[in-house]
Amino acid sequence: MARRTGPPGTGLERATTPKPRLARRGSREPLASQAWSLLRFVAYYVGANLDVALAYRAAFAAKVFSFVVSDAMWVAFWWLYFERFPSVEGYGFRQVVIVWALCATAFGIFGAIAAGATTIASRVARGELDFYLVLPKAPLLHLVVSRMDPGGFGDALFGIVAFAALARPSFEEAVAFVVLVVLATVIITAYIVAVQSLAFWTGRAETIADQALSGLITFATYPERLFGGPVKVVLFTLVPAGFVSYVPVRLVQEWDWALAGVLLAVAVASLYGAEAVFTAGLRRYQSGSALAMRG
Amino acid sequence: MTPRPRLGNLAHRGRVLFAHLHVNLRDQGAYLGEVALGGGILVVFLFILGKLWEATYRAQAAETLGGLTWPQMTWYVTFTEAMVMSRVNVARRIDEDVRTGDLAYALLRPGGYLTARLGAYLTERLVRFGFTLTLGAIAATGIAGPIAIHPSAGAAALLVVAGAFLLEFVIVTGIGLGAFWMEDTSSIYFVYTRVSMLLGGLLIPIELFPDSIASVARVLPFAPMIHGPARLALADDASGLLPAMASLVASMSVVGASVAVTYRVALTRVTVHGG
Repeated sequence: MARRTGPPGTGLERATTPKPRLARRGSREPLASQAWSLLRFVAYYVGANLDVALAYRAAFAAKVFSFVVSDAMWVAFWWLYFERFPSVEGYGFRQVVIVWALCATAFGIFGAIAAGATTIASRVARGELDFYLVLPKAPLLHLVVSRMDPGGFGDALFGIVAFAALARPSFEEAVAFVVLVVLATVIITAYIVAVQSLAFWTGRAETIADQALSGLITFATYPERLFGGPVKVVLFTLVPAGFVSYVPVRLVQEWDWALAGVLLAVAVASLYGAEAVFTAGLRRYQSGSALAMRG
Repeated sequence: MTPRPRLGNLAHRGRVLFAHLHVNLRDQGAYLGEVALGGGILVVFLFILGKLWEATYRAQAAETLGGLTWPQMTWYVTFTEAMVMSRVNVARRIDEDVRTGDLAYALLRPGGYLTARLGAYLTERLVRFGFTLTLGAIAATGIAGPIAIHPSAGAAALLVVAGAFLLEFVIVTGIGLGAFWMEDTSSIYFVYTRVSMLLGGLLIPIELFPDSIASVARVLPFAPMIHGPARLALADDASGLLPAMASLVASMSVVGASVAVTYRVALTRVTVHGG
């Protein structure tokens, strides 16, 4: 799309120039006002997506319920395990509950707000990004919030209830949990955007992107100390399970300002990194010129 | 119209089923690449579970747990993962056929609707299982080393695997038929996969469950489908074949009767609008 501009004077040349930043550059609005505008945009989209999902209330409720059951089954597995063995690599049942609560809540919020990120690869492959490129809002943000996975509500619900009921946190742990879930959600979103954007170079990347997400979830939901050596390096770089789960779990149990600062820096850097990958990829994008109805 | 003799009818259905198997097997060739790419997550699972069990054996300072050594435990999980990851979501396809009306069209085909679905399911499942087990075996060898599998136990396990495939087809068909009454059956299928993973002994052999949970798991149909074949494959002989098959037959009788009744009732609700 970037190389395809309309005839001069038609206005299309401006409209089709990609402006993929989370916020449009060059705005004269104050930063706080831009942030408020973005938040309202996201809130509006989440509300609209929720209205669509609730059009089929029974299906929505069933999906939320099924995700709660799914997460509960994994925690039940760990309960069975710890009924037989008291601990593994320093983790007991409470630590595993914190792992699952944190991951379920973060992945749940990602699904409820930003599931559009999981569609980037397929939309690039089909040349369907045009819709987002010609509208005034930032394409990447628009794309990311354009879809909701109702199951995300089930994950988030499970995570919060499990943390409150099974981990029985102190007030400080609960506050840390809220902050760390936000940072973990940001890192998850950035990771998915970056991996899905591989489609700009490879053409099709749906399968590898799905596997990257599954791999992240899988590694993030097992105790950190099971892994060492090169695998641990991978888990803090290529598959950021370390920053999505291991570091937050350490911080919930024992707050450390320096470590929290590192996590914040990683979250911000990963957001900008993902945007840079998407922007670089967008320069290679070619429209499919597809006409489609959006309901 | 005079009904066909029952044996002749069965033979006819058998020939139709074989024809479906033949056609679907050729179709599966087109999707081998997709199946292969999906194997990456299996390797990740086995790597993590191998590490988990290795740490467990080390912490317990135990040679065996639940009668299995660490390499055997890794191979146990490989077998159970192959059973679970080769699943074919027949429920979704039946759900779609019910909603789109394709079911009414397929009812007129030789052999009937379920024969066609069974043929497609079995070929896809066999291809997926073969690939998943092969890849899993390579991964398990790399993680925990090779183990000796007794030929008679291995052959017996394959028989139980075939029975498990049929039992799962019946269960999942029952879930898919729910589309006649429900807005969406995908959530029920999802819950089924998760509950069966836990109570079927996917990650922990049932021998290591607390007694109260183990006794419940043994009477449900999930253990014969997941734990049964894996445990039999690791046995020293095929003496576990009869109990494993008896367990499958018992589950099949109960579930099969329920699904057969559901299917008959569901067919009375088929309505065809136009053509």
